[in-house]
Amino acid sequence: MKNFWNILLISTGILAIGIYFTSDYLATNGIEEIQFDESTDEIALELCNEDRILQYYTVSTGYNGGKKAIKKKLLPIIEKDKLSFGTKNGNITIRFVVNCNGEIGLFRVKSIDENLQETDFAQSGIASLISLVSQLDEWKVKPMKEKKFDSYYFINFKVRNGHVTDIF
Amino acid sequence: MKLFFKILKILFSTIFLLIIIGIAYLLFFMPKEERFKMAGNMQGSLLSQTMFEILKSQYPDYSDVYFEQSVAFNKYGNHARGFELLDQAVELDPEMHLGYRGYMKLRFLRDFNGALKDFNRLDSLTPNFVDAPWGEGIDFLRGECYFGKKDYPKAIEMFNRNIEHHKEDWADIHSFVYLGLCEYELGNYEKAISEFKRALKQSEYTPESYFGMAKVYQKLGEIEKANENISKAEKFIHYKRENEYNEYLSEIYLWELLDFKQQLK
Repeated sequence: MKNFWNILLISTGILAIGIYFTSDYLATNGIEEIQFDESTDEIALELCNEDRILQYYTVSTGYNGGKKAIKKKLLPIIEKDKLSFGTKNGNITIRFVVNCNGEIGLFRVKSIDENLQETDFAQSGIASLISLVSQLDEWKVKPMKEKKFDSYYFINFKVRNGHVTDIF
Repeated sequence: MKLFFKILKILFSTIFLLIIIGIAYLLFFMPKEERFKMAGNMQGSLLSQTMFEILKSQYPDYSDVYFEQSVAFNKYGNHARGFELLDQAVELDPEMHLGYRGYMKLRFLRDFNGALKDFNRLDSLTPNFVDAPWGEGIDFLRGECYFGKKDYPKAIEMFNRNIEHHKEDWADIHSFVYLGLCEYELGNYEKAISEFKRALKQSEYTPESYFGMAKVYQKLGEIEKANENISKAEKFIHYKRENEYNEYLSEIYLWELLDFKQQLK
């Protein structure tokens, strides 16, 4: 009987603590989080709070003049550079972190084809797009209750017949 | 002392058991609607996604779960996964989810053909009923798709149909703004002005209409009127149409107005 209570205590204890910490981990971590990866990120972006990067729409992070200003700035350069992805169609989404000081980094790319299925676009073209995005330097980070937050943001590049036709 | 330790062991074992049972109940046995709501409220967290996965394994035909699970992926820019889930929701209950999928294709991807396909299919499934995907008139959304495709005559047809259905005073004010923009693109400048004025009749705080009229008057060589309208657009710019997630096709910005003003000089 003595053993029974010892075994019950130890087994329920281990299980309860395990379940509690797993649930806590699942509740405090999210999908699509970006962390510094030294194999792909050239520089580490300094963050105000590494444990809490919010989404752009919850803290009104944006670019000065909106995405239309980004399009006005980038599309002529893309056209001048004759950036091409062969005959591919789809959308390229570049997602990154805007830190509390309005600096950006930790770029990640996801792409879909015209059927909205995951696809790959030529790496050289993707690298050019990331390089262009990294040069955008008019980010607006709005304070919430006098505090500024790091946040995720993304820009879509629409590709038709291999050419970028829209940025939004 | 022995009794004391025994009581402590029983007490802690009971607490641990209650924690295990409580969490198992929340994840596996609570009514599905409550778990769905709870997972939705924790949007984007791994726990929310885990709960959706459990719900899907228990109720594979529960279409709302696939839809709700897709939301965070699309908001976070993973559209392949977001639309994979939405496709499953549509497959299970097309009438319920086609409108939202079309709306997302239009507003998040600017996939005008894909969105139109969804709106048209939804329309065919609901005869004698005017749908309102995600709260917006289906014809207004179809009009936006055609506007995006630069098919202005077809866009005009859709926006007019939307106004006809909702009536002049209740139709989305941007139906008139879009009509003005379409007529402007087609070079029908007088008609464009009358459409922009219909928007202003509904609300005088519509900077998009003033900006549209300024552009028309510039084309007509009436610079004074163009100046007058661009000033009003500037004055009312904080009433412009915008949302926190993405940019509308016809969205305007202060810098555009200032650039245009400069051109007029």
